Amino acid sequence: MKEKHLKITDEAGLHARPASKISKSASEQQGDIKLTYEGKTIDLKSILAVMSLAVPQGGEVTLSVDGGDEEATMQKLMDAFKEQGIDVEEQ
Amino acid sequence: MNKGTIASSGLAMGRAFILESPTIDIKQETCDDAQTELKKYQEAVEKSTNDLTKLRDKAQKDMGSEHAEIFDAHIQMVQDPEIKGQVEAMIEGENHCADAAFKKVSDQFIEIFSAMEDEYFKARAADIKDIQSRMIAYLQGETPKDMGLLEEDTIVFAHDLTPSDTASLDLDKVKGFVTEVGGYTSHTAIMARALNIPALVGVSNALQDVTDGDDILLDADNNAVKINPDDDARKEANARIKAQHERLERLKQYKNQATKTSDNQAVPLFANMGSVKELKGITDNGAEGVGLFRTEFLFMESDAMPTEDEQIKAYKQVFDTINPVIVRTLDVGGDKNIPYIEQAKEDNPFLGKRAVRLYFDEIDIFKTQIRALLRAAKDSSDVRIMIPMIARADEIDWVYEQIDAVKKTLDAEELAYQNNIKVGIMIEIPSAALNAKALAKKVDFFSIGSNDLIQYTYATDRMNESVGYLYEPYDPTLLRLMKTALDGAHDASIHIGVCGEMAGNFDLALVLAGMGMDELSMSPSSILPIREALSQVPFKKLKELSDHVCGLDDAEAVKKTIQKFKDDEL
Repeated sequence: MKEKHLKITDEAGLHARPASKISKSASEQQGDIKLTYEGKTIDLKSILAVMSLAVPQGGEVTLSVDGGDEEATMQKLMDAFKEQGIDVEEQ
Repeated sequence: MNKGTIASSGLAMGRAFILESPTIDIKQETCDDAQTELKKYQEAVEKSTNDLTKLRDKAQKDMGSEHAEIFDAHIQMVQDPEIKGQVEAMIEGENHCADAAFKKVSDQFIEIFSAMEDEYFKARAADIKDIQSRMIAYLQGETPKDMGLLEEDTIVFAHDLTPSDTASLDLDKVKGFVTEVGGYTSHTAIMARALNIPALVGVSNALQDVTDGDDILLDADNNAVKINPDDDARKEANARIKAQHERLERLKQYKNQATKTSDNQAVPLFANMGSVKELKGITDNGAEGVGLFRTEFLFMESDAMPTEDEQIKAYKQVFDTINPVIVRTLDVGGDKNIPYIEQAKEDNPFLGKRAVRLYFDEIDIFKTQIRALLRAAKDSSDVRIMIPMIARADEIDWVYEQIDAVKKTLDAEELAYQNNIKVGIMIEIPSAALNAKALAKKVDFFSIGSNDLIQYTYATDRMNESVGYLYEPYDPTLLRLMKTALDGAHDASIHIGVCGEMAGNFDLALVLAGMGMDELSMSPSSILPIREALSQVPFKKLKELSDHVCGLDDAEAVKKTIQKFKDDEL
């Protein structure tokens, strides 16, 4: 399993439009992809779960990939964040 | 059926489609056969995905990718693994029926989102409700209703139509609208006129007697709806539809002509538009320009602030089709709110932070729009920017400062833009009309927004039917106020037009032309009849009419005088 600790620095947090794109990108990948925020862990492939987390600016999250080509999946997800203009800071 | 308000005249025949928020009724909580329920659920997901994909492709084709995005999100929600996991667990573990399980799970999410502070997330609750009703219809073996997938010749019946309802409508198939609420200037009414579709609004019991699929004769000329009309009524209606058709054919000869009085005085007739969808109707009706391009649609039909590039794309589509175009910058506040623009609750929103007054707080929104307009107009011959709700000169100074700042940034970024853009103001607050002489020195043009000018002059809320008697466009006080604005404009040698509903009123268009307005902007369907009428009278007679009615005492006298003029001259 691969993990990354991230801080969402984007002004609007992990807001809905990009959140849905990131979730879509996650659902195209193999393996389990989870996002943890304030002790709550959700399936990143679920747009509703991602949106209901409502991660604000400065929110610290953990992204984990389990199964499949973990390295490549993690890279794809980081690209998706970048592409959607969500600023993250690796911790 | 009760009488309503004629929003857009004409006659139409078609089948009824009742648009109502469906009530969800779960008949049975538990089902024994889990396998059957799981299969039902799987099928409902597939069917819903299929529908939504069709809607997405249609939106993509009709309105562009920004509008298609919402359906992408809906597809993701239908297929959501979180919902799926919970629904399957309830079916298998707790013997829930598929519809009951789906309702419980999706209700939880609706509740979570409804409780959120953020307006954007709150609005997502409506998206989940949307997919919920579609899914549950399929789960209960029914077919969900789709605004986007209507049959040919449909008359839509609804309590009210929201801008997002109309955005998803398949307009080729809609022949008429009947709504229970709304007045002449409500969203549905303005849209129906723009699209030239017969419509009645404010028909209080519209949904009571109609059933889906009923044959409907909508006679919006006579404020009547006939359900399952008999043969005689049909025959008569067909004859009238034929006559209407012939009249339209006759008017077509005026389509490619500039509007001139019989003694060759030009009175350009422009079109009002609220959405890129209306461009076809505008060119089909021979508009000589766009006198009011309302830009709110871009902001209201989208679920997040449209980016500069998205705006440029939409504006260019208009600017490349027709010129001149008078673009009104974002006019929200009052009765129009946008979920992602935060606005404090106000006791009197129409007298509150609306239009230009909102820009002072939301400078970025205003500047982004100006940037997009300047850039989109870079190759256009005549695009003009109009600022709504100006009450005083210092607001104009502020606007110019912002526009200059935007130009400086564009220069620094070496981006091409239109440097010679005219900037004008909407005259809709009485103080601006009274102070026209001074304001005219500061701007390139005026356009009178008559709907709000009436509302503010008579202190009558135009949405409030109980004070509707004060909303009287024929009142000579109003005409004199407009004349004051016109004199102020012409003293400073700037153009003045009218872009409210008054300009498209056949009678008042004659008066306003005679007053000396440089341009009248109206619903596209009003252009050709008014062009025909103006071509039959000399300007001198129109001026006499205008001078005469401005001196009268009340609206009744004005109406009588105009009627006599029409009887004598047309």
